[in-house]
Amino acid sequence: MRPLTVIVTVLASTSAVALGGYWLGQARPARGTVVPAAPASAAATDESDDGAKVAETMAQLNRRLAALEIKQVVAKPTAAEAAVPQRGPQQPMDLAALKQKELERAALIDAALKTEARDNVWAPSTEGQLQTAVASAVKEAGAQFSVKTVKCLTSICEMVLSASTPEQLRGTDAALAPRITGMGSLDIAPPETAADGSATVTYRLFRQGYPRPDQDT
Amino acid sequence: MLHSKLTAIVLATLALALPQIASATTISISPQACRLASLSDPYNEYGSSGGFSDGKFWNNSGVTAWAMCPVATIDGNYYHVVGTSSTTAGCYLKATTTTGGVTTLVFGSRSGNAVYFTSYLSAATYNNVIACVIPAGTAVWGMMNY
Repeated sequence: MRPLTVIVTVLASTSAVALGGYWLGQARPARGTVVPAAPASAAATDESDDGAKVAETMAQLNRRLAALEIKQVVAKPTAAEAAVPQRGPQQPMDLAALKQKELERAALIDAALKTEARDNVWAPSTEGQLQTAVASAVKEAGAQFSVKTVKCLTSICEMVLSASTPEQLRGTDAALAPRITGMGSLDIAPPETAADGSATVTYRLFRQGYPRPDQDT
Repeated sequence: MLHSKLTAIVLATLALALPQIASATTISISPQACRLASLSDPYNEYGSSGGFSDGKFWNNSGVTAWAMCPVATIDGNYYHVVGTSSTTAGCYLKATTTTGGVTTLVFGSRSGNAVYFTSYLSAATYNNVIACVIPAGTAVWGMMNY
């Protein structure tokens, strides 16, 4: 082969590799940056070499890449959906280890509930707000549960809901979440059924802006 | 001339690609997987009242409803985001353990049309769903895990 042909071939191959790398990179933006799922806008252009022509070529390439990205995202919704339920079988996990970790986290939260001081301003008002949230769910959404106990400290609250049957505790989170404010997250334990058929569910709510007791586990 | 252009394209592409290749992985999740459910009973799905078009999942039910969107999550990616056309829609990240234990609900933090979630939970042990209360005629889209 002529040297010129070799050079052109090498450059073309390198371009293909670089474009592939760029495509991968576009699908994986930098950690901590929030970008919309919409296609990336025309990327910055390099104006140092051949000026406007190179910039235009780059913009065209980026538009084509963005179109491919969108096609890929739209074409794979079922894969994304399936990834959730199938994660377990695909990645066998040590259930005993997972349960152990959950127990450790629960123990840290239990300890906080026993030792944390009470914020005498925030705690009573938040307890009242939680009572109001449940009352609102009952009145406006037809919820069939009530507050058995509620206790708030400084960064955490524990609320036990009770109902006549376990079925009445189904979907309590959907009824309550839109009515609860000032919390960063909440945990819901599996419902417990008593001998008489009544049921309870325990909520642990974590104040917004405060670290959870189990955050580092 | 042709060679200098090719060289310029190669160098410029490499300059753009390398920093991004080195960064962490982000997943874009299509809202086509979303389901629409009754506000009072999230187990009651509206079926065809939830529509996917123009890259968005729309509430066509005529009433405010839950948009429930399963989201894939990568271990080590602790952040999620979802776009909503309503700037008042409340959104939550619901994480259910694969062991059947505690369910965690993370409250979203809204900024304009985007709602952000920060979770400390290990992805491999949870099935995650982004749930938004969306008014009739509004949509969700652009979910990402990063």
